[in-house]
Amino acid sequence: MSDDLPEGAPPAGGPPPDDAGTPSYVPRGDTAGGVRGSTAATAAPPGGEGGRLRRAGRHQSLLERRFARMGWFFAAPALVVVLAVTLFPIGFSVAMSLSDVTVSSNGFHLSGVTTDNYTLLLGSARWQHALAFTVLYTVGTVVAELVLGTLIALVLERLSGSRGWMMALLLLPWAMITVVSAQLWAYMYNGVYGVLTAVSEGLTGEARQFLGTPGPAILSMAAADVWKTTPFVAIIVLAGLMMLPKDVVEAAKVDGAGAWTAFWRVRLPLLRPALVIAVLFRILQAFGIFDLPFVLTGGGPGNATESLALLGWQVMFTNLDFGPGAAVAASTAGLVLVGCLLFLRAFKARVGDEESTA
Amino acid sequence: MPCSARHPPKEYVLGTSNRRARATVFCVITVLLASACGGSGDGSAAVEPRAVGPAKGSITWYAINFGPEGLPQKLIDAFEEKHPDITVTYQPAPNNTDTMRATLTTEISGGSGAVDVYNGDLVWPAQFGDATLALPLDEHLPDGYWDRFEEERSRTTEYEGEHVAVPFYSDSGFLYYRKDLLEKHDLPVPKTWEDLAETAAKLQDSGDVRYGYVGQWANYEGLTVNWSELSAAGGGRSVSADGQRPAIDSPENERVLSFMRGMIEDGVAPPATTSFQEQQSLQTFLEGDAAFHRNWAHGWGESNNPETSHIVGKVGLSPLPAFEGEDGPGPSGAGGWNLMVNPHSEALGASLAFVEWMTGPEAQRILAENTVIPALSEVLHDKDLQRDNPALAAAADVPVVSRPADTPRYPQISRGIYTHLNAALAGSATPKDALRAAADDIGRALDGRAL
Repeated sequence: MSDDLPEGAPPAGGPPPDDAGTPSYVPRGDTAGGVRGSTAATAAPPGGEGGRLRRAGRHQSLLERRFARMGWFFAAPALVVVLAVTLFPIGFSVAMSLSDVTVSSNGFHLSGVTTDNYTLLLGSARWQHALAFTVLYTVGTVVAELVLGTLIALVLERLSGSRGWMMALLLLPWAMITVVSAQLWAYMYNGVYGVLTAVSEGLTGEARQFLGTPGPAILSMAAADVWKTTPFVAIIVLAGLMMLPKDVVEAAKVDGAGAWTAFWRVRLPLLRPALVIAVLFRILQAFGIFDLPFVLTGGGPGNATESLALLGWQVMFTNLDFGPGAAVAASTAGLVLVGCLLFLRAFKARVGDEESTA
Repeated sequence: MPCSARHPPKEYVLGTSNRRARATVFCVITVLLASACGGSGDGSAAVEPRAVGPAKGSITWYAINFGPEGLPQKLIDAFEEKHPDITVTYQPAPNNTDTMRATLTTEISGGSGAVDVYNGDLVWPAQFGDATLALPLDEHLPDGYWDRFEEERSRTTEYEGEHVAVPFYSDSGFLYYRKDLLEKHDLPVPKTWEDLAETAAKLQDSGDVRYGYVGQWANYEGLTVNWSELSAAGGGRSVSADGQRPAIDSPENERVLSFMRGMIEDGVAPPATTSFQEQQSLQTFLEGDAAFHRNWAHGWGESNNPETSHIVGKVGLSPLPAFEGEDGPGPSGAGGWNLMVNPHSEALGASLAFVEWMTGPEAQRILAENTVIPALSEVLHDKDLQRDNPALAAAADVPVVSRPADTPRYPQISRGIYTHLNAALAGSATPKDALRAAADDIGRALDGRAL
């Protein structure tokens, strides 16, 4: 982590790097507070802001504990609702994916515990294809959106007077419901009357088929996604840019850094918290992409644009195979979870840390 | 402060005990859910067979808005006149069979009786019968009821020897052609697909029309229909006659698929055909851009509707061609919709009365007068009605080919067919490989090993 720090930054001192030390799994009740208190103290930057945000948990007064208990009491109804609306479906999906499900007019009947559904999945070329497609699609669109979004944010940062208008305009694609914008793109890509088809014919003399063949269909879908979600990345990065301390960039300039060096070596590393959040949100969304392929291509041509979410829906509601369908859903959720954790680990950043130290 | 972007060492906010507790809670919930749901399945049987109740009350009919605008309401009005004790509410369904199926499955398996009678796709009976999402009707309908339909049509509503639907309206694939252009160039209506491709090329060369032929070759159910017609016209089939084995990987089918691909390569069919469903292909034809077009019966009304069509009065309709060396005409894909009854309906008596009336001569005549092909034989063969609607006349005569839909696994079979064929048509697989892959998929589907 210290290698991508700007040059001249103080060397990493104090606590050992993340991976070197043994993780301190300590129950929260007694000593954890002490450990947390001490790490916070040592890790706190010179300004001591991080330390201020962290409460030393050891010396809780009676009043504080009573408040904590009241807090639980007040939060309980919300907690029940959250459990009911999030954990219920998740738990039910997992249960369905692990048993033999028959659907009937009396509802779902789950019998036995079996891994057959997952065996079916792993052996299915259709699932493997959907998985490969979803992963590649996620990586491709997120990288493109990150680059474009950062560029747009840098431009927006320079604008002073008209920034509000520009941002409002920029956010339009993001604000539009995906099904609606997907339908618009479907019209534009239409192989006979689509405006883009006509443009391609005007430019190359041949009417290109955007959705009729696999390669172009994937790129066309990714383009629609990038068009829609780049503004989201741009806004987050812009927010990050606005919060950067001005003095650091100025100091870099005084030290002789050009605009490029100042951006690449100073501002970009400082932007990391914002970028991490943007990428995390986008991974979560892109991995579960459903509406875009549903409207644009129906997963075709062939299997070309079939995402995991679309596959799960079709297995459940077209084939009425709820066991395997639930296995698709549950494994997708598991994979995206693992993907996000890997991503966070790769960037040695956790959202909580970013918030408290940035 | 560059330092502030660095991260303090990891904090383990969740201690082990906490994690374990969470995991335990999660598992308990899951198990509880599993048992609770398991329990709900053991309940009473779907419906008491005879307890249908009196033929009165209010019922809801859920259907795609078929036929010309307002047709469902027209039928309801006529029904309510005959049955003053019954009120029917029409609830329009999404114009996509898969979305409609998803809605119905969710509602009916959830125990809802919000919909009493619904339109069901021709290929649903086996699947819905298997999942008990439709009420078995034989005990409730009068003896001799089924005599009113042609046997083949009535058989498409059976699952394991029991009728779980009644035929409501039929549909068939037809060849629409530009009568004016054929007359101008003094060409006959093609009887074989080879002729059609040749004629189309001539018309394209003359500059009168942009494309020769458009059908529905997108990656969806419609391609399975188009394929079933073409394949049968060339002497092939996709699943063996006993329904046990794939039969799609045959020389006959390879000839047909190569021919289809050739139409795209030669420019007779636009490359965009591989993304065309009914709406896009019809639009291309109505704009005057295609010489030949395969579509369902509603294409006739649309072609002659001055509001939507540029080719009013210039359109001819005929049965589909066969392939050279086969008997003509080529068979027409069976389409259409059935009526099904929700097992949770609380007004079964009224629902059954509605279903029976809708398949009776009065309702079926209303359908025929509105360019919908009736399921009832006596109306289908009515000479007066046929005179006004050439689609009706053709539908009464052409041979029909059904999709292999007599198994609950049909969606997987169909998918195995259309995905691979679509890939071959788009040029990303050879016809031979595509057929072999489709055969593999069909085999897996029949064995219950397909996603």
